[in-house]
Amino acid sequence: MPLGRIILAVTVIFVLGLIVLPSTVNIFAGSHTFYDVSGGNESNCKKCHADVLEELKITKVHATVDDEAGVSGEECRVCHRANVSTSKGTHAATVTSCRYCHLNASSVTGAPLAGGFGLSDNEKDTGIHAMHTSYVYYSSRDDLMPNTTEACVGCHSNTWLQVTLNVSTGAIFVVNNSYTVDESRWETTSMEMRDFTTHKEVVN
Amino acid sequence: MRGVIIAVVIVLVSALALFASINTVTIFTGSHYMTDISSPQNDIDCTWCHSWMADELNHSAIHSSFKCEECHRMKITTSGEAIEYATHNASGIYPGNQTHAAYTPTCLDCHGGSGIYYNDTWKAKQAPPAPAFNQSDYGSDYSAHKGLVEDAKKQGMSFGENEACIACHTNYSLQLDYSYFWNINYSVDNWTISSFSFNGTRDYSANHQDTGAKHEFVKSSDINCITCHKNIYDALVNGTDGGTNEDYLTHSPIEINSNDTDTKSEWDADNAWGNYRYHYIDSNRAERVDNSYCFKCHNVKKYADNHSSDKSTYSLGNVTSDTNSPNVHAAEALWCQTCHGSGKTKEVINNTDYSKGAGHTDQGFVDEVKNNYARTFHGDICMGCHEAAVHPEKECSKCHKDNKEGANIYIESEPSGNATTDAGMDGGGM
Repeated sequence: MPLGRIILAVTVIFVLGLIVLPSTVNIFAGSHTFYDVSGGNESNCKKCHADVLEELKITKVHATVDDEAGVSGEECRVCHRANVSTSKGTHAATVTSCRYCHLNASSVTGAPLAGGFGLSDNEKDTGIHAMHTSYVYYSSRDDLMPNTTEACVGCHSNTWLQVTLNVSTGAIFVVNNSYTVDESRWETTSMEMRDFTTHKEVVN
Repeated sequence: MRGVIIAVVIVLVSALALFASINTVTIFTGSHYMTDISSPQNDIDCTWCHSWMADELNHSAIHSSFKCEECHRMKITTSGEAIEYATHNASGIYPGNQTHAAYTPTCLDCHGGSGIYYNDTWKAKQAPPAPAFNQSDYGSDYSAHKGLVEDAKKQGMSFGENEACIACHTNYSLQLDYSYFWNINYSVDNWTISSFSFNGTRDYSANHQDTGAKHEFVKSSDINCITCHKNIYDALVNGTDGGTNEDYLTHSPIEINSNDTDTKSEWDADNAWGNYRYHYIDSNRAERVDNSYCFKCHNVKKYADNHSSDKSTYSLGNVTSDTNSPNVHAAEALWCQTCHGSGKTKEVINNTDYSKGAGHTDQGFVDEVKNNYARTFHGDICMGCHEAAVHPEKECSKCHKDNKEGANIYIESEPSGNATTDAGMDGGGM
């Protein structure tokens, strides 16, 4: 059959279809199908945050925060709607800090306390020998994530991390000899680090 | 034509996919994939962020078999302090108290007291106790480096007194800037010191550059006294050029000999006890001034234990009893009087080669110096006479003839040791 006739036939069918079809258009298909948010079924986080859901599926911790086996998407609510209040300017979810559950002995989630920094409300938590205190402290001052979350995520998750550490390789001691005619003492009056070198560590 | 159609189709499909895809972004990919920390071992590997430290430890002469947790998650120190870490293992979840992930120990947390500590797996381990410093208040005041340890405790560069330990026991680079007196002047007349004075300030810098690695620990036998005490080494090896005379080398006393003829050497190759000279090095000083030489005085016990022949020859077993060397860490702070004072094994005695009467042996001179003058000056007071260059050949009359029995002495501190003497007051005897 000649090509020209095929094209003519397709064109005629297309035009007839346009004439017959309704002349209305919806901006978003499905936009009048609403979720029933009553009865605690407030969220469908996995619709947009499927990547997070996939991470939860392969992690042992946090996957059962909803006291249910398996990962259904309801786990999100436990952390990200733990302190939701429309009267306080939150709607669907909050950007939750690790601190909310893990430094709070009375957390409704019953999460294990992350003690040892002197930051939790456990009276025994002194943190007097904590090594990563400055790491946590400066994390709390950074705005990238709430409170100390950057520090927690840096160690406790599989997030790609680049750490640059400035380390001293030497020191200078000032040693003075104090003396009178009949008494003397050597005293180290100062000890200062110097000769810093940079170590770049990449954790992936 | 076909290629154009395929390209158009790809573009249209990609546009559709972008339009339909989720518009959300996770700040950190992987931030919801939490590390499972429930196994018995440490599941968050320290070396993920501290790999260079692990590398240092691998090159360390000691401790290289330790994992990080051996020290940095130890459970109980030698002093009995318990440290509770945040832990999740088969027995449960435990919030940390004193610390969360890791603890910075002081060296004495393992090497203090009995040396028994409990490591990260609750295993009791025996570390060699740090001699003297493992005791309360860091032990004997005669430990030459006790002051360094006490001062380190007050400083904030590291935890506890670690600065002092790291300075000697690791490959951390160190510069020591010393400040002390330049010289002393004193006069001796009839074995009584008068008009003593100290003058000037000497600034001496000992700069030791090493790998800079605090986790590279060195064996005790590889710690070199000269690294920090280079001014002493310089004094013993170089001193001040004496021209045609002996060089001025302080810190190494020589036995003085003189017979009546004034024609023989003023220095004795053998000492008053008939043994070869113990202190003075007459040749190859650069090689012979080493830790062993330092221990001849500053740790007699250690020297005697490692040199049985000298121990016998010089009665070092008895000399050790006169010192505090069994009770110190590394080195003893001492006076010449420690060995040569009254009642000591090597109490100064008359040199049988000298027939002009008693020297300072009967005068209590050595004890007087110890009792009346600061320890920092003792050595130079003795070296004012016992420095080889002070006794040039055939110039005894400068101080020892007729009514000129006395001396005015000027002597500089290490490393120059330059000294001058001239005849003192009339009368008396030396």
